[in-house]
Amino acid sequence: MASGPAPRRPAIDRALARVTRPTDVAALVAFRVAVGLIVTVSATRFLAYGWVDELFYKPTFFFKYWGLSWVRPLPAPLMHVAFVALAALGLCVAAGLFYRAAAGLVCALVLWVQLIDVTNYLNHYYLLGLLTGLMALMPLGRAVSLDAWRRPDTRVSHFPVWCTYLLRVQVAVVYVHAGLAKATPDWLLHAQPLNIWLSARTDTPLVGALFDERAMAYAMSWGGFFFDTTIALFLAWRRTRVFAYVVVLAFHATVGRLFPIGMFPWIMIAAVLVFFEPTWPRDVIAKLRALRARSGVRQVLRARAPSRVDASIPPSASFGLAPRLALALASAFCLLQALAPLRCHLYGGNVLWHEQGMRWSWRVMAREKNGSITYWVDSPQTGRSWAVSPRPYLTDRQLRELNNQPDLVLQLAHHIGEEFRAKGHGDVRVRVDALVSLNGRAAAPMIDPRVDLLRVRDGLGKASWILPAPSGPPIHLRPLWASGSASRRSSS
Amino acid sequence: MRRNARWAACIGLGLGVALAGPACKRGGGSIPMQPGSGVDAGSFDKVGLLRAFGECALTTYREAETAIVALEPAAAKAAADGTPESRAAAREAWARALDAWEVAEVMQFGPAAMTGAPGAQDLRDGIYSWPLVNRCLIEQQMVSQIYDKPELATTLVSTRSLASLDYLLHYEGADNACGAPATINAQGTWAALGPQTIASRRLGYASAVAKDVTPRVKKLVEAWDPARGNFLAQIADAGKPGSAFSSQQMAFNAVSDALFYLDDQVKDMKVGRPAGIVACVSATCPEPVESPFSGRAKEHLRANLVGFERIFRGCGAGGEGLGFDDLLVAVGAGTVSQAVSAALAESFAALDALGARTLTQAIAQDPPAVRRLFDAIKKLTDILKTDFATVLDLELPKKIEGDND
Repeated sequence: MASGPAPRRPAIDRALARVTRPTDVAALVAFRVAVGLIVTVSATRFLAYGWVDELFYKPTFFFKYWGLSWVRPLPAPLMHVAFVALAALGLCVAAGLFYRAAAGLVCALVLWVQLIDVTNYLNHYYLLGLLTGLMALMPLGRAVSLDAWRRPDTRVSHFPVWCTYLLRVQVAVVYVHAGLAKATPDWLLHAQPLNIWLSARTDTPLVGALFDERAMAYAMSWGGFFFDTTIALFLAWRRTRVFAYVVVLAFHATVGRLFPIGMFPWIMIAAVLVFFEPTWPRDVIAKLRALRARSGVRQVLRARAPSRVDASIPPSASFGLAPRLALALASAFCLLQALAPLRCHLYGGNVLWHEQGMRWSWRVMAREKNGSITYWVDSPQTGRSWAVSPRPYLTDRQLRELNNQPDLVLQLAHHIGEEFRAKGHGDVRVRVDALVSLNGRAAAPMIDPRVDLLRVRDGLGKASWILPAPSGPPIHLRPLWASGSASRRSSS
Repeated sequence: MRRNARWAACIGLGLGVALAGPACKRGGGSIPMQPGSGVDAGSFDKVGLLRAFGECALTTYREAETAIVALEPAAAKAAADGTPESRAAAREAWARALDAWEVAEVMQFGPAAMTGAPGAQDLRDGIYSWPLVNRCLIEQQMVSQIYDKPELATTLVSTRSLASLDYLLHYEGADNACGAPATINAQGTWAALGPQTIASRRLGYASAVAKDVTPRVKKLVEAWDPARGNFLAQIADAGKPGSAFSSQQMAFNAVSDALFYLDDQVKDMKVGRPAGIVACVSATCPEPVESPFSGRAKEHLRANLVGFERIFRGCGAGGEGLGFDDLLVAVGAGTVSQAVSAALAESFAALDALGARTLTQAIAQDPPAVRRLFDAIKKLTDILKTDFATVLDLELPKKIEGDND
């Protein structure tokens, strides 16, 4: 009896077979250790620099996320305890002790801290939350870990390759969207805000004199744009990977030296390691040993090291409902990560001005923006009008964020209105003078000063109370050395 | 062609060839400036500008020192003889001292600044503590006569400094500001003093305060003096080892932050609140007006604007010397410089428009004129917080450094 061709498996099974292939544990174990240590260092910095008090106990007013007004800081000293716990949990993740619970708790704590106050939002802590959340779903604690030592029966020699894929997608999404966010006339055609930032850093050792040159701002703007949009590609391609990683190191070291971005360079330098071969730690160790021994050890170790995808372990022949569902969820997550940062385009206009869709979309260091906010509280009954400064309500850090972000201006307007009503001023109106300068343009009103903000509800729709961004190009700063000749030209 | 080569070199350097740095550097780094272009004549660079800020602060502090040193014997004479003439002389000396100090109020960077700022020694409050003035506590200390003891130096600043002299030298009533439950009223110790003793103790207290302030202003001047503490070198050498400022930008931030005195202290507290525009439930709130007993709030405002002008336009007469305006013009932001100068001129004009009236009288008689003054200063501070801060990449000094991205 002649046998026909084997029946073709459904696409979802083929996909599952592909993503469940086993790979060496080494790279993801190294990634786990790096992320765990970064969590510990980050939490320790919060405690050591007094940021816990600054962020959670000093403010008397907290900006809430839409629908999450119930998220509040714990009473003193429990926030300190939470950060001590976060530091300890980071060590647990690194050591692989109670790994899944530890990673899940790190994710929850990092995101919770961000949700307590909108002004706490930082892209790199959001990324840390996402990475640890994904890690909690992965069996990264089953190898080279205290969990594996405690319970040898759970020990594995391979991780499924989907773990690597998912982390790569996440890191690539960050870079690509950070790059797309720079595809604006201000960034590419006018080299702003880098022209402003570099002009203020001309005393940087060695290279500071160059920062006065507009060419330098253009070079760094375009360099940053190309770096962000393409680096994931170069990291994914084996032939360019090592060179790309050197560029990653140089880029993040430079940015970290020039700007106060804290842990961001370290997080990215660690995160891009997911693009390397699953065996990279073994390869590095082998090369180091070979260098020391100057013998044929390299070949021996390479032979021992598992291949990138271990073909000796056959993939499952069929998959049940759970893996299919997991694949669907993972695909949905990737799709969400890829598309959600683009939601700002649904609002039209300039996202750097109206900021709708700005958060959670990897718009990293994309603008130089300063504002002056004065609320006006009108009492129709008495005809009185009061100027209310936001300063008494906010910390310096919150004030800096408020000046740029219309939804925060709206939230504080409601708070001020409620306060005036509670003090017996009746049915007051709250307007705002919100003058904002974006990338050195002359300051313009960001919010319609005629609108009673108490009648405006925050939401996901397009905010009609936010005025359009000023048209026209941003400022072009000239180098100090050129000012003499420029003055002469303008006066002649 | 040569310029293209420079661009290419810089682009290359931007991508990491740091060794070529000197190729893009203009020799010397200082540029001759055009008179009449808004940029002062002579050489200009950031080091020169920072040095000019420091020299301006030191000059202003020295002017205050001279006036405060002259106040001490005048206050002592008034306390000794208590004649109307000597009291008037003491008042005049105080007015000159405070006029000089109010110019320096806008220069609270370095040793005068509050703890947490670079190089801060918290020296300002001991010289002038406004709005921290507690009349009731002063009157309690008049009864206890602590002002005659060395302990005065360690009492709350709200009971000493030039701010307390407004009350001590100018108030002539026999009442006090404490409530009935306060010890001096409940035990009758205030009433027991009698009007003459009260007047005499006020002058004695004033003399002690003048004596207390003198070494404090001298300490501030010494902290800046090139022959002593030489903070002048620290600001000029910002970014170099040994400076309190880790970068030039940090020094510019500190100086610009001091200019924001115009926003929270001048606009809101000195004008807005008394005029009932800011944080005032009733129609007006004249109580918190500065120097209410001497009625010199308006002169203080003018001195504050003069201090701002010295830093922004230059410390010499008519804005001569380097100031932020020179930096703005030099980097191509002359429109921002013009906008600030125009708003400053508008603020002076609005102040002049109050006429011969005191600020308290103007608030009562001509609220729209006071509102115009508030609006003019607001226009000035709006530009500072937006265009000025953006173009020069200035920020509030980070008392607690945080992460950004």
